[in-house]
Amino acid sequence: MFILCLGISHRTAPVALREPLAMDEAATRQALEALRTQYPHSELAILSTCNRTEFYLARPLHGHPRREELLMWLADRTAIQAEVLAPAVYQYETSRAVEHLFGVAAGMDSLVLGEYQIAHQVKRSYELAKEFGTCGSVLHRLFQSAMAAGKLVRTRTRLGEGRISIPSVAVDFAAHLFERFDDKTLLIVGAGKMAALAVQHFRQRGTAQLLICNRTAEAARDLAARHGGRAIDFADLDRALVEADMVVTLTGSPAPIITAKRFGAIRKRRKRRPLFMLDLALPRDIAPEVGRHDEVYLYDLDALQAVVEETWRLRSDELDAARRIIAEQAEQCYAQVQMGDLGQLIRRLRTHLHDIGEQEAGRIVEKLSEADRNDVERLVNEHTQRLINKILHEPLSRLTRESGAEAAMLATALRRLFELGPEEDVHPPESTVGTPKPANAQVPHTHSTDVE
Amino acid sequence: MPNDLIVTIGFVLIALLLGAAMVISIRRLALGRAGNLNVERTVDAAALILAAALLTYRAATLHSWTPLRNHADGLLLMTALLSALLIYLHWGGRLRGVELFARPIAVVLALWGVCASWWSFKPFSMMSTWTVMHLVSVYVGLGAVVLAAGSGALYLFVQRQLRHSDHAVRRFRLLGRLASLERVEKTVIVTATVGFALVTLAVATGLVSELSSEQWLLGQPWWRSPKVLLSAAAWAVYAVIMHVNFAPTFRGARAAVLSIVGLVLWLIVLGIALTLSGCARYDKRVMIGSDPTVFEDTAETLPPPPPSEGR
Repeated sequence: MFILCLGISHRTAPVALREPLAMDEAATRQALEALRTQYPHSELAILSTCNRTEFYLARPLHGHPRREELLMWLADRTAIQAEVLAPAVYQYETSRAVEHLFGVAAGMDSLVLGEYQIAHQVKRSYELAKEFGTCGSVLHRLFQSAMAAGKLVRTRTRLGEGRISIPSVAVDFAAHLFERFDDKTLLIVGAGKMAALAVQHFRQRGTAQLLICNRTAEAARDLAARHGGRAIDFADLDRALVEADMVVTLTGSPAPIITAKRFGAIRKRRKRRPLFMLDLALPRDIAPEVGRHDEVYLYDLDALQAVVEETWRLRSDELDAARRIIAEQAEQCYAQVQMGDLGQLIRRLRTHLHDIGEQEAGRIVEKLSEADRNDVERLVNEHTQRLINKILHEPLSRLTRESGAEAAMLATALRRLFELGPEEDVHPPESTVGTPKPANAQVPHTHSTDVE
Repeated sequence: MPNDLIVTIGFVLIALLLGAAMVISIRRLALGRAGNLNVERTVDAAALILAAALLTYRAATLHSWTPLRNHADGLLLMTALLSALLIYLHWGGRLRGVELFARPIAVVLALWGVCASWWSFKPFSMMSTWTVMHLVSVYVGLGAVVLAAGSGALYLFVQRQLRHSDHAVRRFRLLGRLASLERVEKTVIVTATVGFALVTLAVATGLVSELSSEQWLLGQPWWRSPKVLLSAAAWAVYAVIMHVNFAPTFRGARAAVLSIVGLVLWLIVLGIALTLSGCARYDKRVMIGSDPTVFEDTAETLPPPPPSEGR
C-alpha cells in the first residue's frame, strides 16, 4: 500500500486559509462519508485541529485519490480555488508520511512544542476513521504506532514538561501555594484580553469566586458576565482585597495601584491569610514592598517569563532526542506495514499457484484414469512441463515485454528470488563459452507459448 | 555489652533502612530522580515490620505482654509509628515531601534506640495505670510532635522556594514535587493539635502519677522541676499552634518554627527524664548481668515528701 499525507498547517498557511479547511467532528464525519463513497478501496483518516487539517491515505500505488483529486475535492468543499490551496498544501509519501504523523502525535509539529492536546486529537481522528470503516490494516497500524510513539517521546524526554504560557504558569505558581481552588476567591484588577485569559485558566482549576475590578465599570461587568463573576466598583478595591485569596493585576496604570500603605491598612482585616499576587502589568500595579509581608507571595511578569523562557529552552534541547525516537519508531512501523503488504502478496501468490495446480491436477487425473501403464511416465512428464510453463508464463512474458530499467529490475529480482547466480552466469551462451556454470544456474525458460 | 543484643541489632537495622530511604527520597525530591517511590515504601514497610516484631518479641518474651517496660521499647514504638505514618502520607501523595524532613528525625530516634538498648537500658517502674498512660501518651505524642516538626520544616522549605527571587525551572519542578503550602500548614495544625492532646495527657497523667506516689522524684517544689517547666513550655507551644487560625500573629512561618521548637522542647524533656536522676520513675531493682528480666531486690528507698508541702 502507498501511504500519503496531504495537509495544511500553521507552518504553511495563515489562519485565513486554515479556517475554511478546519473541520469539527460533524464536518469530519461528512467528509469521511463522502470520501469513502468516492474511493472505497482507499484507507483514509482526517486530522483536523485549530492548527492543521491533514488527510492520511493508504491506497494501492496506482490507486485513488491522488493529490490533485483531493485538492479538487477540498476546493469544491471550501470554495477556495485549487490554485490558491496548492502552494499551502504539503505532501509526504511512504516513510516520510509515517514519520510526519509520528511527529505530529508527539507534539513536535505543534505551535506549542510538545503540547499534549494533539495526542487526544490524533486518537479522535483514528476513532472516527474506525467508526466509518475507512481505517484498514495499514492506517490502523499507523495510528496505533503513532500514539504509542507520542507517549514514548513524552515519557523518555522532557518535551512536554512545564508550562509555556504566562497564565498557565501563573496558575501553577498559585497551585504551589494553595491545595485547592474551589474555596478561593480570585480578584482580577483590569479587564483586558490577558485578564480574560487569566480568568479562563483559574476557572479551569475550579476557582470558586471571581471578582473583577476595573476603572471602566462596563468592561468589568462584561468580563464578569462572560465568566460568571462579580464586577466590583474600583472604589471598593480595598474590600475586594480583604476578600481575595488570589489577586491578578493587569491595568495600564502608570503608578502602582496597590501600594504598601494601602495593603498595610487592610492587612489586619485579612487576618494574615496567605495571598497570592500576580502583577502582569507594565509598569507594575503592585508595589514591591507589598511582597515583603510574610503572608504575601508576589510575582511579576519577569518571574513568570523566566520560567516560560527556560521551559522553551529545555523543550528545544529535548527536540533532538525526540526526533531520534520518532525516526526509529517510524522506521519500525513502516517496515511492519511493508511486511504486512508482503504477507498479503505471498498469500495471493500461493492462491494463484494452487489454482493452476488444481486445474492441471484435474486434467492429469482424468488422463491417467484412461491411460495405459506405459503412458504414465509420459503423462507425468507432460504434466510437470505444463505446470512449469503455466506458472512461468506471465512473469516471463512480462520480463520479455519490458525494457530498460524496469527489465533490469525484474531480472535482478528473478535472479535473487530463484537464486540463479550472479549476473554474468545468465548471459547468452556465446558469451559464456569456456566459463563453467554453477550447478544451480539455469537459463530462463521462455517457451511460454507452449502452454497455450 | 548490650542489654539486649537482638534489640540493638534491630535498631541498627531500622536506622540503616530509614537512612537508605532518606537518601533515596533526597535523590528523588532534590535531584528529580524518578522511579524510587516503591523502593521507599518497601523500605519504610520493612522498618515498620521490624520495629513491630521487636516490640512484640520484647513484650511476649521479656515482659509478660506488658509493653513499654523501658525507653528502648518506647523508641521501638516511636519508630514503628513514624514508619507507619510515613507510609500513610506517602501513599497517594497525601503530604508530598514531608519524608525529606521526618525521616532524618526517625533515623535519629532509631540511633537513640541503639544507645538506649546498649548503654542506658533502664526499666521503667510500672506501678500504676497512670504511669502506663503517661508513657503511652509521651511516646505516641512524640510521634505526632515529630510529624508536626517535619511538616513545619517542610513549610519553611516550601516557603523559601516560593519566595526565592530566582524562578528557575529546576525550582519550579522541585515545588511541583512538594505539597502545597496550604496543605502543609493544615498538617502542622492537625498534628500539633494531636500533639497538644497527647502532651496534655502526658503532663496530666505524669503529675497524677507523681503526686499520688509515696516517693518524690521531681524535687521541691515539684513545679520548679526542669521536667515540669519544659513540659509546660512544650504544652504552651502546641496550644498556640493549634489556635493559629484564631491568632493570626502566629500563622504561617511562625507556626512552623514553633512546631520545631515544640519538638526540641519535647526531646529535651525526654532527655532530662532519661538522663537526670530523679526525673523519671525507674524500677529501682538492679539487673543481674545483662538479662533485663532478672533483678536483684535492692531497691533504694527515696526520701518521703516533706509534710509541709501537703501532698
